[in-house]
Amino acid sequence: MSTETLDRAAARAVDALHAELEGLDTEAALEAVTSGRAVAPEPRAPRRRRGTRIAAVAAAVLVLGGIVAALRPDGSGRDVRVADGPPIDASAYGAVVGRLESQVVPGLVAEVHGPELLGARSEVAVAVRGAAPGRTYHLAQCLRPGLPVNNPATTCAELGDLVIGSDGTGVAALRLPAVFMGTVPLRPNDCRTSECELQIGPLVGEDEPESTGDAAAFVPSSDPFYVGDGSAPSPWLPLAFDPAAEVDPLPTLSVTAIDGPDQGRWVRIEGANLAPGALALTVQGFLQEPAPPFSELSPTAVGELRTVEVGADGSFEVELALPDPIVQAPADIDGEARTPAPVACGAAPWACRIRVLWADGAPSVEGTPALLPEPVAYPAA
Amino acid sequence: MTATPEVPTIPAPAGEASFEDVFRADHRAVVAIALALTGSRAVAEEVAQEAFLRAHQRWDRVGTFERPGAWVRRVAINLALSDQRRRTSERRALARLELVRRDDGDRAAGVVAADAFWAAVRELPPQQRTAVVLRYVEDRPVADIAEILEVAEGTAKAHLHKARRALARRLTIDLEEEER
Repeated sequence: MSTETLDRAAARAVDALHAELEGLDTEAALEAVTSGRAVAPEPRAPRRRRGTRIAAVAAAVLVLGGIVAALRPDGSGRDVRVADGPPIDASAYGAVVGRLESQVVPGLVAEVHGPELLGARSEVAVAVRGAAPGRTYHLAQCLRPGLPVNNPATTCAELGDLVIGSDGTGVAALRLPAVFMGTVPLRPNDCRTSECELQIGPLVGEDEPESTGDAAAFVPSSDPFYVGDGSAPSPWLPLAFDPAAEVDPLPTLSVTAIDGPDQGRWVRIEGANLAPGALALTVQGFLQEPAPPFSELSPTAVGELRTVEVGADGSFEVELALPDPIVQAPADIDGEARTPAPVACGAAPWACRIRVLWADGAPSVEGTPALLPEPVAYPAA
Repeated sequence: MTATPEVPTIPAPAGEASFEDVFRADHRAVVAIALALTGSRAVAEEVAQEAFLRAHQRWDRVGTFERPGAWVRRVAINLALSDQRRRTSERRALARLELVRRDDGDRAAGVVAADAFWAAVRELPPQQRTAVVLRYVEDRPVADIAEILEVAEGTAKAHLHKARRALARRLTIDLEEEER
């Protein structure tokens, strides 16, 4: 145990933080903003990121469901379409199978039109009326229970945004897969065997908070989009999928030990049913305890990031070096802070586990489904 | 971004404070908050710039708020957390490793290194991370933290409490003082 308190440590850390800001030129920054020289950097624009994630999900949908003929008359093949072209007739997608009424704004209603029982990739339409013109609603497919879409614990696929027109209405056509790639954890989620939902959440601008007090929201709480703490579920509509719906083979990643001189130091990674193109991968080693959820895994070690090429048949094979040893964090042992020795996984394979990581955010993985296979044991040296 | 966007002229301040007043008063604090959340000064300055730019472009509305600075902080926090969210799993793991390594060197001296402290902060869940940053970097009372997070005071206090406990446990140091 350290001899100091948390608040003293914090005070020193804050001092160091401010020291790091030495030379910060507020006047120059102000001039940049007011003169027009300052522009929002594109890579961090949330809408663009969301688009990237949607692209990844859409690609996953293509992998999962196969590239099929477009179901809509326009033949666009897109998985999300909003009424930015010809008006979408929501009733053409079927009867109303779900309905939400705002708990805040009288007359604000969202209805979902579609088949009573959804197939492998059924189309539905989401129609909103009574909303504030220009408002954006975020649509996502999630496993229950409903948590805010961007809550770290939520398993959702982001479907797209619905923008309200000047008359207070908006319609989006969606293609809902029976099996979707969730963001956390990064693996396929099967709505044929698990309960799934459609979430309709409010967004204000991009990252902007709800500050005007005139929220036209479906939820009584403030916008939970980014700083939501998971305590306020987003509104949701249950989705009923046909348990017998047939889907294409799911993407897979597998890890196997390499025999021979490299035994215990290298592994072979194989993937199948993936989107062709570049895929960035690395190997993570971690101690066997604690068990997942992944975000709680500690301590860990990470191997070199590699980019592999997924062939036209959707498969690849690559050999990667295992990260070894794994450094352990200081721990409170019998009332004393001790730093356990690093674990040499090659010599103690029973203590370590391996996971292949898909590298989020790298340009090379655009349009590639995210996967997080179950961990496997370290191979013995 | 290749094209230079059209930036509107500064609208007349609708409230008492002009955009420039708010910028000069809050810019450094917003950069500091973003730095604590992201760990990168370059990213922090970008985040602050983007947050203020949005405020500037919407000043006819934002300027009418009672505390435009709170709005800017909220936008900056969301942007900073978005940046954090982009971090890949292995980067989080690397950060954790880095925390361990840095922590080892200073532990012998009985102190917690500043970078180890902030690395531990960045391991917290977003709400707790934000609450503790506002508390320590700006010395904000619970009521202000609640306003910026748009949660009830009790919720903000709970986030702070959990964050401090988690930090103390992670850094293996004493938790001496109670939240104000």
